[in-house]
Amino acid sequence: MEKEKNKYSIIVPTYNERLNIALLVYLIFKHLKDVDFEIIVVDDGSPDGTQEVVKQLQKLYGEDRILLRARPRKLGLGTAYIHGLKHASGNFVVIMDADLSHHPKYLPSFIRKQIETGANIVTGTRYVRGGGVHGWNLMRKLTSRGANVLAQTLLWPGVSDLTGSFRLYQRSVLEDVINSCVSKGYVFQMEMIVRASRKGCHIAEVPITFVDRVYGSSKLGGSEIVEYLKGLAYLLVTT
Amino acid sequence: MELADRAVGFLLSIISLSIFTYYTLWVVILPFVDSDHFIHKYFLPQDYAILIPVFAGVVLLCLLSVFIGFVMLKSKKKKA
Amino acid sequence: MKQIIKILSILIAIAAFWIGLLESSVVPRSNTWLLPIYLIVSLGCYGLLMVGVGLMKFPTCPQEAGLLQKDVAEAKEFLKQRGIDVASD
Repeated sequence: MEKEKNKYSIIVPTYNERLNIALLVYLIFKHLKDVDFEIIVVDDGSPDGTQEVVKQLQKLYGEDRILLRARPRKLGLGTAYIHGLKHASGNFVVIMDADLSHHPKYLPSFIRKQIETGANIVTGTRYVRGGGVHGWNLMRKLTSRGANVLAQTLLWPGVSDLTGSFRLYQRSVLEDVINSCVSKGYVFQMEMIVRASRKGCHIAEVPITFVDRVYGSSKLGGSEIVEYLKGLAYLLVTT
Repeated sequence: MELADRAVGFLLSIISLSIFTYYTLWVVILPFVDSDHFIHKYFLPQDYAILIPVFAGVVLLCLLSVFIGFVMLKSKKKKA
Repeated sequence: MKQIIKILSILIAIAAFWIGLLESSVVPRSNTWLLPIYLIVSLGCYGLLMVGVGLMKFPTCPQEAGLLQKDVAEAKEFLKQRGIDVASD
C-alpha cells in the first residue's frame, strides 16, 4: 500500500561509464519491478560517449524513467547530487555509484528497510554480517579499518559505515543536509551522514557488498588519507 | 590472501592486548607490590613507564606530520 | 554542542578528577600520578585492538564477484539484443 505512493529517484553521477551505466540501468530495472522510480544520470561531459548510450537507453526504457541531466565538465560529486536533486520528482532519493560496485539487487532491501522502520535515511554498510567487500588488499583493509576506528572514536556518528555512498534518503532530508555540506570526494559522504545524524535524523542500515571488479583498483593514496584527516578535523569543529 | 589478512588482524589484537596487560601490571599493580619482590626484576623502573610512551607518542606525531607534509608538498607540485 | 567541545569537556572532567585524586591523596600519589599517560596508552591500545579485530572480522564476499560477472554477462546479452552498443573497450 505504502509502496504505491512512494517514488524513488535514483541519482547516478557518471564520468566515462558508457558500459557500466547500461549494465546498471538494466540491473535496476530487473530488480525494481513493481516500484515507481526514475533514474537520473548526471554526466559530467564524459568524452567516451556515455551520454549517447544513455540516450539509447532512454529510447528503450522511456524518457520519463531515465533522465539525462548532463553538465559540461567535471564539476565534482557533491554538486552532481545537488544538480540531480533539482530534477528529481520522487519523494525518496537513492544515491549510488555507476561502476557496479553498488549492486542494484540491494535496492529492494533499502526500500523495505525504509518502510519497516520509517527511517529518514537508509545507508548501506559493508562492515556487518551479510555485507562485505571483495577485491581489497591488506593495505586497503587496514586503512579503511583505521579510518573507521578514528571516526567512530572522535565523532560518535552512530553509523557503522561512514564513507559508503550507497544510500536512500528522504528527499526533504537530503535537500536539507546537502546544502550545508562543503567537502569533496568521499569525505562528502561522511559529512552528509554525520550532519544528518546531528540533526537527529533516524538512520537505518542495511548490509551491502562492495565488489571491486578489477582487483585492487580502488586505491587509497597519501592524498586521500590527508583529505580524510582534514575532513575529520573539519567535522570535529563544525558539527 | 584472506587468511593472511586475518592473521595480521589477529597479530594486531594480540600486540595491543599484551601491551595493555603489561602496562597495566607495570603502572597499576606494581606500586602495590613490595619493592624487593622478585617480580620487579621483569620491569624497568617506573620512570620508563612515562618515558617510553611519551617517546613513542612524539615519534608517531613526527612521522604523521612528516607524512602529511610530504603529501601536501607533492599535491602542491602537481597543481603547479 | 559541537563535537570538539564534547570531547574537550570529557578531557577536562578527567583532568579535574585526576587533580582531585592527587590533592586528596586518598590513594598514595605514587599510584595516581601516571593516570593520564595510562589513559592515553589504554586509548592507543583500544584503537589498535579495534583495528585488529576489525581486520580479523572483515567481511568479504568472494562469491559476489562471480555473481556480478553473471549479471554483467546477462545484462550485456539483453542490451545487445536491443541494439545498444555495449562493446567493451
